[in-house]
Amino acid sequence: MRDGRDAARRATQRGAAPALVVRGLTVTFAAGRATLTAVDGIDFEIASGEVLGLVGESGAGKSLSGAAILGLVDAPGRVDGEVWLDGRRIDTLDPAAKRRLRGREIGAIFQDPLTALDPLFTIGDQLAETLRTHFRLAPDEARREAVALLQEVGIPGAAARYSQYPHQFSGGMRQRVVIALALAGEPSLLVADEPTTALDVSIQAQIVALLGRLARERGMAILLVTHDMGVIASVADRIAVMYAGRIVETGTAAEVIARPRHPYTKGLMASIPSLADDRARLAQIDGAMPRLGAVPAGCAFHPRCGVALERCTRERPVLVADAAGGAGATACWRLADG
Amino acid sequence: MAPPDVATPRMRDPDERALVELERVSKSFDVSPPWLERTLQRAPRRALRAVDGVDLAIRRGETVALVGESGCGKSTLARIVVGLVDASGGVVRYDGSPLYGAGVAADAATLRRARASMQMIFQDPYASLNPRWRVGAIVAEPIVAADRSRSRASVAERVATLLEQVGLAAADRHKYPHQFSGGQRQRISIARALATAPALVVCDEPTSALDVSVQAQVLNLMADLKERRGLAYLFISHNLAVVHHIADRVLVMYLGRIVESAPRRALFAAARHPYTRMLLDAVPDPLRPKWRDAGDADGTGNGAPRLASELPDPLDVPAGCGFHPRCAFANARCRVETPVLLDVGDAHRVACHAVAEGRVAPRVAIPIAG
Repeated sequence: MRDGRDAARRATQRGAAPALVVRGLTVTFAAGRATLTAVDGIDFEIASGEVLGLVGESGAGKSLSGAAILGLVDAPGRVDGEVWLDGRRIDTLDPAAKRRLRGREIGAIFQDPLTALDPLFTIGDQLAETLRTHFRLAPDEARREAVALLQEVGIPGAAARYSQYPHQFSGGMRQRVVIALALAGEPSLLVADEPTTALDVSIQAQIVALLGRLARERGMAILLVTHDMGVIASVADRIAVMYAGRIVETGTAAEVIARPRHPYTKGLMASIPSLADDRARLAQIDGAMPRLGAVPAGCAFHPRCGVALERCTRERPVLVADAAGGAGATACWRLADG
Repeated sequence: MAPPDVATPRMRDPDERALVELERVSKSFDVSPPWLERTLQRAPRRALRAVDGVDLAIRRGETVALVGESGCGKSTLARIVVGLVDASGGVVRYDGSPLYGAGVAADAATLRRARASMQMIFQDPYASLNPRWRVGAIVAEPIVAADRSRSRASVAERVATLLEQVGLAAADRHKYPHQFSGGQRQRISIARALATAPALVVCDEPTSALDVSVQAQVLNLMADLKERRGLAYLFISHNLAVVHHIADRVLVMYLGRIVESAPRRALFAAARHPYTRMLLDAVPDPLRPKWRDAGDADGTGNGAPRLASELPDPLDVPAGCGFHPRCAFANARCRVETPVLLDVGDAHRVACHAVAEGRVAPRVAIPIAG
């Protein structure tokens, strides 16, 4: 299994330096005698300063992939495959080392900003404490750093709000505080799991713009896990579409959204109501994503696919680069066979 | 007073008559601190005005969408329409006769008839179905409640028909809700809502908890049912793209008040109220990622969708127009005088001083299909 290291080295030689390389990431759960595969051998990398959008519907395994990278999948869950961060393999580290890594080299933000903050401490104390956990700072230095971070994430009157409690912040401002906390360790990777789902659209737009700016300015890689194609289109550089634990299509955001190629991505994009069209009916993909333990053989999408071949029912398709020369790749026999 | 036929010209067309009508409906919630605290700290009583003087009419077969951010009062208004929440002021009329409201005492027969004609679908298909009841019992309950003399066989037959109409199998009535996916559960909710053959279905964020491909299935089903049964919908949503897809008419709500109301096309092509424009600018639309790589020069992360601050505290609503602290067009008048809805032509009504005074130029229509 030298695959991940080689990919990391090759990319470093090219100068692209992927912050994160993921190879064959698999998450399984033992359920009685059966093994349920929630994430089924996914590969991707994210360069520094790049935003990768990992999209999919509920149950596609996208959040679990994020949790596996963070080392947050606990027993009975089991993680296989390789995760490389800045050229170092991190999935094999012991729990204490993983714990040190989180917050320091990998930041994480989640959907609900309120549960991520301690209601009994001021946000300034929480930030300063986090900073002093990661760096040797005197209290007044930590305070200065914390105020600077609050300013960086766009909290007006940062110095004054330093001594306020989480309940004194609105939802959008809380999510900014959570982002500031995640930035405290100056991570090279930020895992953002549905960071805007709990927010109103007007606030959503601000948070998404903020994440894009942070990736560019700090050269931080961002893994943005979301179901919202609109959010992805606004900020992601590349997209990986997941279905039933597998990546079925990757490509640049512009490419995948404007010209989806995989039948699932096509159906997904066509089912989204848009202000830009006026259809009487939305395209719909009949049926639902298979449950864990009931993933069909071959291509997991074949029972819902309008163009499935006989081969799709038997053989699992692999990601194949776009023959037409695009940057994307799809896992589809129909596309591979022409 | 003008002769009746001049005063209410649209009443002459029976199809144009309002099925449900709300007149100056308000709802305040008492959120005062407890009695002891009030006494000791001389704290005053506090009221949260969730809905503030709303007029609304829904015609037969019409889909009226109510949009706004969290906390604007849209769900409270929906619950007032179906009678789940009592209004503190104003009147709700059904088919012309007063139903709910201050000082209204509708007789039992009118109430029963009106309740059967107005049903509701809730956002969370996991919380709105009793997990201990079989689907058949869930769908049968409103049928039995409306007509206790109905035979068991005929109820069962009706349940089977309803389940088939929403795309489930008649045999599904023996199963429990947990055996269904989110989209299927929402279909069960729809079947239950249709059980009494209503004329209006109030839908509170019916697809917000669903994945987009499942959302498409449910929205298509709702469109089919509307066509087949002439249903009217009051569709509550924060998702403007969904509203654009399904609505005939759109009402925009802000801090308990309707700030703009227009036929769908007029609203999406030529929104007038600064708040509506702000909402439209913020819609994350994959096909029009207009604020992608937005210049973030001011360093606030606000980027291109220049959105000033957030929704004010509903307990501390700004004086004058509630939107003025976030509005680029606000002036002294906006800070003291509450604007009322004014007609700007073509059934398009806006509550905004800046629009009325011509301080907001009608924006050149955004190219929107249709």
